[in-house]
Amino acid sequence: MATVTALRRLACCALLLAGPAAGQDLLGHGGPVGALAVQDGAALSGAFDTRSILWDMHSGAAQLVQRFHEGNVTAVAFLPDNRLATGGQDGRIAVWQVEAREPLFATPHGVAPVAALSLAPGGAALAAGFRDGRIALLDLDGFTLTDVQAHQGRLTGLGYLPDARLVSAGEDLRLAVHDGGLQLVARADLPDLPNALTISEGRVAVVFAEGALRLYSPEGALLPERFLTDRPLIAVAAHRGTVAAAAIDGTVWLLEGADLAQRVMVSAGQGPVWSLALDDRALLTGGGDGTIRRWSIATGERLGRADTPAPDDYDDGSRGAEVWRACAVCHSLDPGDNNRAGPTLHAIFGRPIGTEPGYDYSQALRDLDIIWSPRTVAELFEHGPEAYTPGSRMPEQRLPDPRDRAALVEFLERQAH
Amino acid sequence: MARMKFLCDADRCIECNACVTACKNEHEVPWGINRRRVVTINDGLPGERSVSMACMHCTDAPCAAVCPVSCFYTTADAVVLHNKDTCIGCGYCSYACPFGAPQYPQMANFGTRGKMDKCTYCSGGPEADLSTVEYQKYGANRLAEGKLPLCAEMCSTKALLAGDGDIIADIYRERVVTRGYGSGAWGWRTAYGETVSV
Repeated sequence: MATVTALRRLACCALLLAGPAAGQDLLGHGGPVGALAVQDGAALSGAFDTRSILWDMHSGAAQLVQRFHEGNVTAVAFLPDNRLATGGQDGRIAVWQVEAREPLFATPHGVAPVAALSLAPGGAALAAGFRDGRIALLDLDGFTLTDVQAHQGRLTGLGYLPDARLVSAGEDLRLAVHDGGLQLVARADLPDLPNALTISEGRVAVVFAEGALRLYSPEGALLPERFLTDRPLIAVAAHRGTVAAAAIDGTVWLLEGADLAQRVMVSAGQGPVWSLALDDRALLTGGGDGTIRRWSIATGERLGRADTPAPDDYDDGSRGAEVWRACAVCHSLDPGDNNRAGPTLHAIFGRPIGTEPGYDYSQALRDLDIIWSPRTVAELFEHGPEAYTPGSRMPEQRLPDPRDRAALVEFLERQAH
Repeated sequence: MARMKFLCDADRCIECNACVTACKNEHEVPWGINRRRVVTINDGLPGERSVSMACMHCTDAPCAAVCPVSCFYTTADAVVLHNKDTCIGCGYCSYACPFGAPQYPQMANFGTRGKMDKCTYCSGGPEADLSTVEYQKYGANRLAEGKLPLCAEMCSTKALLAGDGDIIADIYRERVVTRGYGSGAWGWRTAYGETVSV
């Protein structure tokens, strides 16, 4: 049984953004949005910037920003009794009381990232699928945890059937059906690599890397299938007779749940669409650009602004800007609350290491004695973070060519002030 | 230049896992990572088939399309490689890959992201050919030695073929005509946008 241990990392703050127009984009994440859920006028998202955000769907405002996981927030779920759940790249499952500053409960670090979360009918348990093929069942009253090895290799999707059986898909090309006690009760072989799974009116909807969306009966029998594209499908969601599927090129299909007849096709225009959520009125798409967009499920029309400015457009055509592109995945150059997976680099030169307000630095970084300057930034990329800032969470990055290091430093001198 | 491809003849694969072992040994692939794996569908049932899966070096590689730091590149032989100095270990390529190819080292703490590792078609990486650093980061570079990937070379039933796409497709066609059946070149439509017509 996992118990709550000391929670080292959390940032919980109110209202990041104010959004007057119903239907506008949800802006606040600083990296690809990989997890989405909607319920009763609220949305919950998780992203590469290590944050989960609870949104008011009416105003478009971020009501609650939680920063707890070390790494990507990979799965989110609404729970009963005003509670939320998040799962992360750190393998942890956290249960939150809405508006609390710390999780009510969190599992210890895991050996594999959480791939999916699904709430059992009745709300008594939360199932979590992991990228090493395990499924864990968390009792939401006593917070006891049991798990089984459900797949060989990565688990790619998880969902509860209305009768409380749990369905999962994995890269072992298997669809597995478990009872409430995680006993395997049915199994079916899949023709290709499944990338995500959802439950649509008692049937299992699975999207595949070959571009197909297939429906299966709870016993694993193949029902209608539809080849939507020749590009991999990576996300699927369903709500009351509507199924949505998304591909890596940002195309999203809205289909009839019964026969997969196409209702609408949308080009989200935000890079790969990594996550989807549906309610009675709107489709939400979580994109590679860090924005969450909203679309009418009836017409596919975009709800809200169509001219969202691209954040961090610093491309001045220089070699330094080219090198910066890799940094921009984790760092912003904007002032204010613009920390992502890494801190904002606005006004970096002259700043002592580990001191940007609002960013939860690792202890290893806080213990270092470095003042960021053109010389120390160049040294960081000459030797790499593993040698220069050992123990930090920054992925190992080196620029072996001194011209690239000089170009990056010159770019930062121009743009990061 | 040749257009290098893999072809797995699922009617011949006997799930011996020699390809997996050969790959792991040749490249000294770290613990927890298999660049190649064998998946069996309909296990123990009529119609059972096994497929040896790894990076197929796709024509329009989805991994490259979603990589936020553009660490992928395609060689003159049409092999899809990546630069580990640029990779940030974000994992998005693994969601996009139709073949489950990208692998990540199992870290004690996932807050530290490891670099992605995958099949290189035995052709190293962006470092100098046959250099020590190339071997340490990416494994052996058999193509630079004029050899084909070891997984296919080791395959006892020649289920796994590697080489120029036109040549291995001809070999497969001839087999299907001779034996009178063939379940298709697994993954070819997804990877290369075409099938092997017989």
